[in-house]
Amino acid sequence: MEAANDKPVAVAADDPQSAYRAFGPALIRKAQRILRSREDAVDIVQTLFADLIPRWNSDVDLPYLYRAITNRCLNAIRDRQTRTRILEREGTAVAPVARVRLLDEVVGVRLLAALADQLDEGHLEVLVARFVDDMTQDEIAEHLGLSRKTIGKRLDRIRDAVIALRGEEVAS
Amino acid sequence: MSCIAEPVSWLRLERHALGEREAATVAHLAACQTCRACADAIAADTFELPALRPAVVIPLRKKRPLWQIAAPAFALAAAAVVALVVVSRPPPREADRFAVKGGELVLGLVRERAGMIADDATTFRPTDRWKVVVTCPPGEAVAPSVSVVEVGGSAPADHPLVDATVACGNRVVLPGAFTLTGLRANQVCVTIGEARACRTVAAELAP
Repeated sequence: MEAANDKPVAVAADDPQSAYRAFGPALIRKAQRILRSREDAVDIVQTLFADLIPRWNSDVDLPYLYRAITNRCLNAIRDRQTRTRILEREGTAVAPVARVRLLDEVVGVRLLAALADQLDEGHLEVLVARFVDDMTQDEIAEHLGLSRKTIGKRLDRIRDAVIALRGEEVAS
Repeated sequence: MSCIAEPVSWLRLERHALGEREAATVAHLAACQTCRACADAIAADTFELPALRPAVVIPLRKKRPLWQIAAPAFALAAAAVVALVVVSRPPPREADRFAVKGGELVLGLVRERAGMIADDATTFRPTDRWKVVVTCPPGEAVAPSVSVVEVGGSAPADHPLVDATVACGNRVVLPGAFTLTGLRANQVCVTIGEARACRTVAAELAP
């Protein structure tokens, strides 16, 4: 597959309301795939726009917002209090379609939470891009502005972390 | 049911749904039932987008009668004197016990990020520098106390700026600057006498 065409979708570049109407549903769906809660997803997206509006500029496009949502969701998962609430809900949430799996495992919020304690944000961003957003390595490299080699190394490190986690689970 | 090759990412599917027609995506969706189902799920996911919440505005403190300000200020001053005796701390300057007349104290935070200045920004990164500006009734010398505490955290409040006496006025810049770190939101407060104003700044990761 060719690299992503990162041409911004046509919205009024200086109007965050226009961007919210155009991209809001896509961002809510993305946050919901990570957090498994539409309510939390709406909160994350609304907070992001509230923060961005004062410093809105024409560079804000869907790929940028996608990355920002990833980081906001990871922050929510890292926060102990929010994490507890999200994990409690996960059991009742419908799992999204999983087309890309990590060592035969669907990457859910529980695995993200476990890995959040072991991996830095750079690795977690790659993790979400590959196993939640289903991006190819080339697409991730372009999306994050990194080399494909770096993406490959980070994916290896992520797999090692999951294997180590499984080992700990078996041992306990 | 699995994808016939490399799945079309959700970002591409969303852009496809927004009307961008990338040849590779169109061809893949024509051939792959799994990815087409994902595209169909996006198209079917129609819901009423909630209206954007208005940005949080820190309201100005309402003016109160002088006696309402003076009574707590005297109580605070008395408590301060007792505390001084008990813990043997150096006595505060007279200005430390000053209550802002008129009851109006406005806190402003100025963020400097890679040379870019933003007034009253609501998010921080560890590399940002912050300065505090206060607006209070002009003409009085005061000693503002700035405290920073993690929202929901157990750590005690930090006082990142050295004590300094400044003349009240419109958007007076306090000496010194500080940074905010961690993953939690931070509440920055300025206290002048019994008047207090706070702002909350949320943690942010790049971008």
